[in-house]
Amino acid sequence: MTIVVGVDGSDFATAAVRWAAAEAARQGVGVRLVRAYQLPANTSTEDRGLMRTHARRQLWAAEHAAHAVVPGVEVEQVDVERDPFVALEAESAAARALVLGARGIGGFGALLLGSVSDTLTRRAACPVVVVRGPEPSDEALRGEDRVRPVVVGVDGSPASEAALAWAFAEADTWHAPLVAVHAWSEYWEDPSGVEIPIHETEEREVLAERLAGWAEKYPDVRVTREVVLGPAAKVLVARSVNARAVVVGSFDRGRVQRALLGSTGRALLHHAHSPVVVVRART
Amino acid sequence: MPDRVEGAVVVGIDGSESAREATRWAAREAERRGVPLRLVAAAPWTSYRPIGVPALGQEYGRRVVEERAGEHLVEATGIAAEAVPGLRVQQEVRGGEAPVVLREESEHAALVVLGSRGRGGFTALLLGSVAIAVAAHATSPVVVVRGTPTNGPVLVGTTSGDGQDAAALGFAFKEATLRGVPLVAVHAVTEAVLDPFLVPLVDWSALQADEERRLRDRLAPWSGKFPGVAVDPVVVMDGAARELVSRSDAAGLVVVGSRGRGTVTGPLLGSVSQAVLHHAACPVAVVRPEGAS
Repeated sequence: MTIVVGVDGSDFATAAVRWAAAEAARQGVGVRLVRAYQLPANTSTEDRGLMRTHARRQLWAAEHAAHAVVPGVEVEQVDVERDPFVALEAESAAARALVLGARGIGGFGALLLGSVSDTLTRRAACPVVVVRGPEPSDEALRGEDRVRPVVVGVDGSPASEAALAWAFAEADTWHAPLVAVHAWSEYWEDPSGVEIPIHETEEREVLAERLAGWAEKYPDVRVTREVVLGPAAKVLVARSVNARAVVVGSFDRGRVQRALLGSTGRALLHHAHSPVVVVRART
Repeated sequence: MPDRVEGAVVVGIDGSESAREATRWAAREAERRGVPLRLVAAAPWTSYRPIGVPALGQEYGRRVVEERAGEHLVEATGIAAEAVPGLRVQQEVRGGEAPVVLREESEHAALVVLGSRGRGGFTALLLGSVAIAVAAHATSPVVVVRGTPTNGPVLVGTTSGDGQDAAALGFAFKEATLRGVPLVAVHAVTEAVLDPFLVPLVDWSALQADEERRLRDRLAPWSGKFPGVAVDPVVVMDGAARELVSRSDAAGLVVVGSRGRGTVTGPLLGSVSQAVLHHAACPVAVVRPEGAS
């Protein structure tokens, strides 16, 4: 198992490679750098060779960037002439996580990020990380600062349990504080359409309950609990400032629609100030 | 889209700061040569097709990538117009990966001009991957714009009389003529080309004088062809790359052959051109020897 990174030579991909190197070190695995590209069918042999050399040079540069953060990290390079989305989806089957740059593949803007996140967070078989936000120093990436928190969204779903598992493990290794955010609304509409009032104290209990088992497993992790009224996305975006990562479960609507990325996750992918980890429930 | 102009100065545009500098340099070069400027942005949309969204599909990815590339071209057109008002400028977004698109462009160009660093921000790397790829494979000369452009002399690296440097010398003399500056022709004699057993016995001053005479002989026909260019032949007992890089501080342009010394076959950059591309303090022109594949 490795951490797979989509490489394309852009600044965004470099940031992803750097984050992935630190994450791989944390999990005790290697990094697999994947440069996938497509050429028209009538491309000459010379141009195919040219593109291949170009892709390999970008991979070497990416390996260099990974080693700048974690000198000893094991790096694999893969160049493949294939649709990058198809290639990365296939890679996800044997990956610990799939890491992408903020502008998705190609550095071509939020519109394509939408397609990357919707496509890959839905189809990838592993957690998908979109690396966003200001570029941390090598030291901060290696967790030497012990200051930047891991932020996690909690809602009680199986996916959010998976998010908690990731977030606690990460906070534990980096000796980082953990901020658990649970968002709620004042009324819950039951299936018959009746609005049932909810009280904040109940929500606090819900959050405490969700965290209890994890706090036992990771006694050294300092947890800050936050129960907020209103949409979770807004609070998570605010808490992501100077965070190591913000971790959310992908919203799972069951077998029929497969796993859709919830609106919270989508908002984070576009607005968070830190890398966003989208974790699916294990099925 | 109008037909592609032949013999233009072509610039690879990717929206980077380095491409902006390349555009300014290329606009002045097009003016000197009296040819149009052609701005080309590669849109590798075929590599970025979103899947699982049939309704949007490839057209969607294509539109996004092409729009972005188009914005870069509009910006570059403005920069060119500011640098040289009234210059004829053509622009085109071309689908495909940058190295492939620009190599093809070189078949129709007088010159392909690139920034020294692309959008990829690998700070450890001094030179963009696209620039290396295109310099190694292009049909036309490729100029990688680096350092601060000055009106210093044109510097050219020569090889020892096997004719491999004819294209580079021709290009260098033409550039010196266009710019109205002197030409410095550097010939490096390194110990590597001498028999190591004989090194201690070599009369270096005699060797240097001999090499200088031979260099002057090689340059004579070019001076006949470009009589307005003042030529300064320099023979050094040191590596060519080191000499060219150290003299590049005061130069306006360094010209090197794409193959350099030795019998390298295939589309590989010679070690001298690689080193100069990475370390020169002024723009570098890489010229493919005539007849090289």
